[in-house]
Amino acid sequence: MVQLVGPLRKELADSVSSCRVLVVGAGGIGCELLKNLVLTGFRNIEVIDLDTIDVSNLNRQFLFQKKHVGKSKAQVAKESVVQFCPKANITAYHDSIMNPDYSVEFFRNFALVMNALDNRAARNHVNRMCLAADIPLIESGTAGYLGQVTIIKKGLTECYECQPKPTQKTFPGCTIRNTPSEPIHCIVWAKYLFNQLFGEEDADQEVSPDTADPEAAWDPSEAAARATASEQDGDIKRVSTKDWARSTGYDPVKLFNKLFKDDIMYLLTMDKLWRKRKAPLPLEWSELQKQGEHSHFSLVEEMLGGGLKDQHVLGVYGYSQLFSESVKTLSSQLAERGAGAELVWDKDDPPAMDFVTAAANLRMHVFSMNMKSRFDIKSMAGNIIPAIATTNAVIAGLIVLEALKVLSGDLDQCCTIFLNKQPNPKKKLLVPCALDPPNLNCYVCASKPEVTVRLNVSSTMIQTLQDKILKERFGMVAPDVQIEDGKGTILISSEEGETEGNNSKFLSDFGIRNGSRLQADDFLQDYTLLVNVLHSDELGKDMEFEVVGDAPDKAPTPSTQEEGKNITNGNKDSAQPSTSSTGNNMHCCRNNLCRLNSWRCSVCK
Amino acid sequence: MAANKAAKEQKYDRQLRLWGDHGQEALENAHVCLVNATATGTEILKNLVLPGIGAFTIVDGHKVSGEDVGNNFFLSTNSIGKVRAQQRRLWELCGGGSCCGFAPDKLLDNDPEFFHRFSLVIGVQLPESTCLRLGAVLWNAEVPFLVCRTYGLVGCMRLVVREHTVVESHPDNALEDLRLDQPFTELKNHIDSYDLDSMEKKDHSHTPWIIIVAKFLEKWYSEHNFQMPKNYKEKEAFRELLRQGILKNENGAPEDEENFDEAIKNVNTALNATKISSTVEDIFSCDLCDNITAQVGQVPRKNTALNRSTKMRSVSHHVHQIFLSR
Repeated sequence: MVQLVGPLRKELADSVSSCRVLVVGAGGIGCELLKNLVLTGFRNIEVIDLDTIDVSNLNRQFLFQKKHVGKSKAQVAKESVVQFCPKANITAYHDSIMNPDYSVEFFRNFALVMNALDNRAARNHVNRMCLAADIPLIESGTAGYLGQVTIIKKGLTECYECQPKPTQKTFPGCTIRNTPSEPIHCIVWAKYLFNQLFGEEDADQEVSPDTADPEAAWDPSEAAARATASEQDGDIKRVSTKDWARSTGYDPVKLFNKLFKDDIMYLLTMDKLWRKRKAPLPLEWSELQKQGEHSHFSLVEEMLGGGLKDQHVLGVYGYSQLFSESVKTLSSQLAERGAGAELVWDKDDPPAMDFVTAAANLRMHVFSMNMKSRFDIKSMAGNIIPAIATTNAVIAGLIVLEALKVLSGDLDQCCTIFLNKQPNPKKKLLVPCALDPPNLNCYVCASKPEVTVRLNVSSTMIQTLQDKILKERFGMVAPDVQIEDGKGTILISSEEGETEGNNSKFLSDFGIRNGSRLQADDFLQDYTLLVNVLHSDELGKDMEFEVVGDAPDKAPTPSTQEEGKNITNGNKDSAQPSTSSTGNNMHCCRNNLCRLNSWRCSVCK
Repeated sequence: MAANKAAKEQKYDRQLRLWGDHGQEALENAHVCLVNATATGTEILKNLVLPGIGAFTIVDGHKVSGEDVGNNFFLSTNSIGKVRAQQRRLWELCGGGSCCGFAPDKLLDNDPEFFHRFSLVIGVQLPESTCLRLGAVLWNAEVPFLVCRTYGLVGCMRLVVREHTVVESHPDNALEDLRLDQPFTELKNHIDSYDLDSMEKKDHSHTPWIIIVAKFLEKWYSEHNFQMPKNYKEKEAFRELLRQGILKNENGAPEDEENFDEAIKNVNTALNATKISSTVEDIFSCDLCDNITAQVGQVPRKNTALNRSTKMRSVSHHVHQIFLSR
């Protein structure tokens, strides 16, 4: 006779009440998950989240209320749960899971780790930590009505990085700076502008006209002449944008005329760009103000109309006003913080969002595009994924069901489960799929991970290798790199300051050439990656490096829908065929369509 | 008032991007009744309260037991013995809600019309007899009834609804309605204003692709008895016709005309016959259109019941006229 405790067999109930589990993330999925764990009988739970509570969380993260806005999610989640279940032993960390304090040893304390994350970098990191510690990981994600859950167990299943996931789409610099043709280009430009003026200046986020644009194709001799001409043209100076703005006291009118008149007129001199394109039309502040006064009544009319205020599209005059107001607000915020201060752009910070809305729209107008509402711009600028309580509730429920299988030792019964928006032909809304075995060539979980990277050894800096390639592309947090040259020459040390002198040197300066091999380690992740260098003089436009063997960039376009009300989960056409050797009868395609926050199959209907 | 609205827009931002302000309004105008505040019931209610349901009422004749506390997140040990309908923690979540400590059977005995006021009634763990009685009342009152039952790790639910009206369906793949087979007067005039044959290269390459398709469709009509390309073979032939229309340079090689490329790419979706879909036809052919009552599903705000009924009747007639006349 099997002994039961509630609906669980006694051994399982005992495991549940005694084991320690880690929940990474205390947001949408996290709140629901904590509740489910506690009600199922889990007693020793640790939860970590670096974020604080925002008003926009309150529609679904039910452990938080209005009075908690601004406080630590992990902390408040713990307090709310303990109110409902005093017996629960919960430890909360207001911290980043990527902090080296959370070592492989830390992870080994747990019987099970459950992710409730919203970004790929953290998922990659936790994936590696769980592989290193050999602890089962339950991975999940949601977006709107869609969601999924899966298990990752070293040696048994694919890891999170076994299948390449499309990287977020980036645009060439000259498109952003010279020849935008879509609203998203203008929005990215506006975000760059925010950083140039108020935030951390980034060499990759230039906003001024790009004279090096290959399409403009000038003679070298002409270039010098034009460069001098531009220096004499109005207020355009070859100083940093921030310094220039500061020198004018962040004068909105001067700023406006530089960005939307002077810089545009400069672009117009690059006439080759405009032979097949509609040329931009400069705006002038005082002219606009005159026109604006006449059309003031239409602005008022718009505001009195129904519907959400954010969904209105103002006129050019309206956006020039918004631009001016937000510049004033932001520049005084900056001044308040003192010397060397930097603002960080946040979609939920009204003046920051106002600024991007205004600047992007003004630029759209200059380049003859229809302007967009704040609502739509926020979607695109903030990469917003719609979120509701119910999807997270379903997924959190599924996570616990899978967790129970893991704890019972029934890993063979675990599977990937997709939550769809509509029932599939078999009338299923929840679709289970068999788990795939690990990819033997995975650059993370293979026994000796190896990749080949194509780049130009004479023009790629050590800094780029560290930041763009090893950290951004290959998910390392603190890489150590040595050359496999028999001498073990150290290129990069994760210890601060040790190899800083190497940062602006080029790979070739260290004798690295075609065929060289580099050993990159991340000791925190217990991860070693062998990098084969393939030298090439001819990389694509604006491409600094290319990982050989990657699927061609089929990244789904960011949400650019007209209404911003519908959200599709990426481009259905870019679904990649199954690479599973065992075949998979239960569903029709693999699920590599993560736009940012969740990963799932969007074609399985 | 305005500040309140702005605060709500902020709070509901992430869901407004899914169902829009009309969807949100429908939620906020709804009044849901939960019968039996079990763990399942309160879980359901939580998921309605969070996105902003207008109002809810709990009907539950039970008192809180120890069992309830073990599996209901919103109850604690000091609620044991109290009226289960009073879910204080749930009310804190949304700032309101009403309760009724009577059992549903009692209400059905004494005041079945109590249930008529709701947009939806959710019945959890109800015995069959109560389900049947309540179901009958709700069916006659045209109130949707959601029946739920859970047992350990197993559960089921069933929705009983007479008719559900969807006006804004948020389709994922809507085809453009271009009317190229039946251009209205202004469209026809606009198309006629273009003369591809006499254009310079610059204008030729900048003519919108829809005009190009329209022009070549005219050519096609004259050779195909005014029938649009219907199958793959004909569409391919039509595409070839478009290809032939691309300007050629001195050497006879085709120029780079992106608008023609676009036109060719869009042939499949641009050449749709203009007609009302059968599902829409069915709606307008339905008897109900001739017998409009005030209670004909949810309709966009600012329409009173009276406006609605007169509008519906006239609209259905007008729509028929527009589409069926030439």
